[in-house]
Amino acid sequence: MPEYKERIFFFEGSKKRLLLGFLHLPVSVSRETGIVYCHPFADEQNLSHRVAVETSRKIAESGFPVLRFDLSGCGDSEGELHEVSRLDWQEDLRSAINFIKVELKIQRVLLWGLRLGASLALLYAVNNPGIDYLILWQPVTDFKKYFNQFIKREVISRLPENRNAEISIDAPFNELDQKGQVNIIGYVISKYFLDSFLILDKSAFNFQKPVGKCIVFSISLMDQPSFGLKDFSEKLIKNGMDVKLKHIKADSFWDRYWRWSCPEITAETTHWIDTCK
Amino acid sequence: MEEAVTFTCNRNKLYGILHVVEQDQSRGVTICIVSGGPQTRVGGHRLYSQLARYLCANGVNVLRFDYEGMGDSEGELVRFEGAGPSIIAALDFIKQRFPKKMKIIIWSVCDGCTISLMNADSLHDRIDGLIMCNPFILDNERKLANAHLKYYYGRRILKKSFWIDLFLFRIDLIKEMKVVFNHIYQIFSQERHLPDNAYPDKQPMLQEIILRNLFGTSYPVWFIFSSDDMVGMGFRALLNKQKNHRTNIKQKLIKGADHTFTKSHMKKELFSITLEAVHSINDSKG
Repeated sequence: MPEYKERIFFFEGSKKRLLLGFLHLPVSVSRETGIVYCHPFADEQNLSHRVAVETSRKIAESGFPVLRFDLSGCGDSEGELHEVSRLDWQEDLRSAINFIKVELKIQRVLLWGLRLGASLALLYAVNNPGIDYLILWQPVTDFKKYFNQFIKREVISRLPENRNAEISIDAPFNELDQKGQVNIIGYVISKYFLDSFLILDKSAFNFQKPVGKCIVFSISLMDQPSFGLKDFSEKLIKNGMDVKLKHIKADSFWDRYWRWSCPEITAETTHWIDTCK
Repeated sequence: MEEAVTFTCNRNKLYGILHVVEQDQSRGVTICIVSGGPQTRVGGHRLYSQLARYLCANGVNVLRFDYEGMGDSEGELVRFEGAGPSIIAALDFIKQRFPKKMKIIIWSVCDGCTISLMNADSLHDRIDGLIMCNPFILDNERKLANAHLKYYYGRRILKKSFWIDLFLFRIDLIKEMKVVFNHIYQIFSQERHLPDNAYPDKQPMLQEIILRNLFGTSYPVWFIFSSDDMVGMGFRALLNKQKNHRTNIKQKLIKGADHTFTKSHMKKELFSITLEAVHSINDSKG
């Protein structure tokens, strides 16, 4: 018999959209901290879903409630991706945090995210009071590079049907400029959505409000974190945040099919959370 | 209206979303979406979420759910071979939720089709029709090689651009010929069988089971194929080779579509054909 209960439901997010929420509740809530999980973008959300579920269950077993939810335009939530922006997503995150605080009367909040979800969690934490802990799984630190790579996948996917075509690496970007939106391997994103991220530079992660403890998990099959993540973590520390960087040697489960678990990251995350109140 | 729902399978809780039409606008039919692996109830690029919303807006209830061990559902991962009990639990849930006469149709893609047909015996009293997109039946490399040769290379050599590339030395001919010869070898080499645990009874070929069950159905079956998908076209070729023609089986082809209908206009066409299929099945006798 699991030591948690689960509940699936809808709650209101940005612009009154209904967002899908999934609550993992310990049978008896023994801690002061509630956890909100922010998922990654596009296919990374699908491919990493089960790891997030399994980790949430382990966390709930150790006495902490966890709320996972779908951002607007994603998963089971209302809206379409081309209608939303980063600001809508920040509002969704606020709604999720408010929900868990009111519903469960918890005193402290831990934000946990993977990839773009981790970046959103950090952006929220540095701009809003009341976030006591942060767990960032392999955060995206350079939005321009990240979305360029994502958009280029569309070019690659078009190659088999256009052997001698004039398809260029700029084609999806041109389409975005001309039509205001573009379909990238099934995901329709808008210029409005993209610009809301690209407007940010690296100073976006400088904190305006005090943030509690933060751990950045670097997850890859290399022997140590990438230079980019090391640099990112060091900048947060220089800026006055209490940040620890930990490297987990494991496969990037968010871009692989049939990787349903990552016991290493689950164990390290639940171990770190156990040190929270 | 969308409801977050829970039901049980093998003592595991399964989670799903039920899209419910207002009573006076309902067409009296519910679709049960059976995911292709390894997708959750949302589907790649939200295919299932968007399809469900489209159908619901057109008077059709829809249930999307996660198999045991997938998505949010409890249990160990069963993969498509073991998803039969999950599907039966979903259909029983629909029957309980809508106790009055309601037609139920399974909509599936890839190995969701495979599992639906593998379990046809258990399903035939529970459903009134099947809508299947790009069924997976390429259970060995021989069939995959066959489909690749026929639908990829076969089409390429008919294109003018291929011959221009060839004469201008833009094609790595040696590399391409190696691939072609490898495929030919696989086609004529001994067939490989499924591993023993894939189907516990007698290890018959997956293809034989699927075809036997398909031709044993009495309810309407619609196939929707993507012209640019080797998996689907491989099944289509197999189906068209059969001499056993049945009037309850229909086919539709979406030209230019890939396996999961990523292009926006292909997705729209898929939704439209699905609705056409639903109306047709709903209007049929039985």
